[in-house]
Amino acid sequence: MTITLNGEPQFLSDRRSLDQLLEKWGYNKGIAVAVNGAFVPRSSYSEKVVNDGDAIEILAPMQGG
Amino acid sequence: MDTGWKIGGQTLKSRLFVGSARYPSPDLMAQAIRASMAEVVTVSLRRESAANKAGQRFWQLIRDIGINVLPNTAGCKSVEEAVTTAEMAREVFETNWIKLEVIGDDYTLQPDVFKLVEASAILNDKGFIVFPYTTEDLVVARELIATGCNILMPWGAPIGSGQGLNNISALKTLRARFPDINLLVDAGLGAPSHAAQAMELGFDGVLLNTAISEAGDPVSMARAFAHAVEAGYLAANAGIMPERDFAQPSTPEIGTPFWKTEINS
Repeated sequence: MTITLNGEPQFLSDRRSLDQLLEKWGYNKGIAVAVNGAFVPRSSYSEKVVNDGDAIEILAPMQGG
Repeated sequence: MDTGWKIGGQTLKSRLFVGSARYPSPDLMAQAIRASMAEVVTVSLRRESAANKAGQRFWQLIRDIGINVLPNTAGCKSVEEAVTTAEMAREVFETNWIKLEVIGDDYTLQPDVFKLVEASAILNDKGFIVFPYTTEDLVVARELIATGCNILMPWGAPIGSGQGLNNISALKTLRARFPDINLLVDAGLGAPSHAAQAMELGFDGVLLNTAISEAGDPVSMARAFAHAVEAGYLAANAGIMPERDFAQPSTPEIGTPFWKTEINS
């Protein structure tokens, strides 16, 4: 199945939970996640299953005005 | 001397809020923020790849300064984007403060005030302390207050333009009509005199970024703004003399030397 991660297509062999994917991709702390435009709290990562076609946004701090 | 003021549940001494963007280097950013004596800095969120830990390095730098953070929703153009970004910022930055920006025009970066009011209502309901970046429009201000805001941040001029206060009359009206709301001029300030002017109008504070970060010497400019904000605040409270149409000698006229009555022949 194919999902998008920060706008880039990613191929996944099977459905996985969000926390498994974050670990696989190498993200650990200091990030926040939205799936299909909706915020997913950190406490829900393990129960959130990522499906084919999902758009995942992973954001981190940066400079701002 | 300002003994302190309250905003968003915090007591602050400084009335200057600064941004963290567009500095020549992270080190200069940290030096300038410290020199500004600001107690609040704006930050943002952006996409981050797992390999690039730039976000974590930046966040550590801000934490080392030991300052309140005000995350923004910069770049958001819809209510949904702004609300989601605010929720993500609350988790990452561990604060319920949010500088709510919903941009309606790419050229002027003018806020979309209709979506701003809508997003503000949602975020106030979700327990955020909303710092809405708005225009100087009185009725929009009233609508934002009705959604639960007790802070308003009208623009002085378009973001990054450095034009100063483009609509002084409307800003004065906001101050007069909302004496109990925290009012900060956000955006458009270029010179310290602009910041002093906003404070002289009775505003509670100013927020600026580019005026410091793109100065030739950001650290000196940060200091200049700190003085200007303090000067304007003191002046507003000291009571500025009214303008007059004609001159009035400042030196007393009693006992003026060589004075004599002119005799008309």
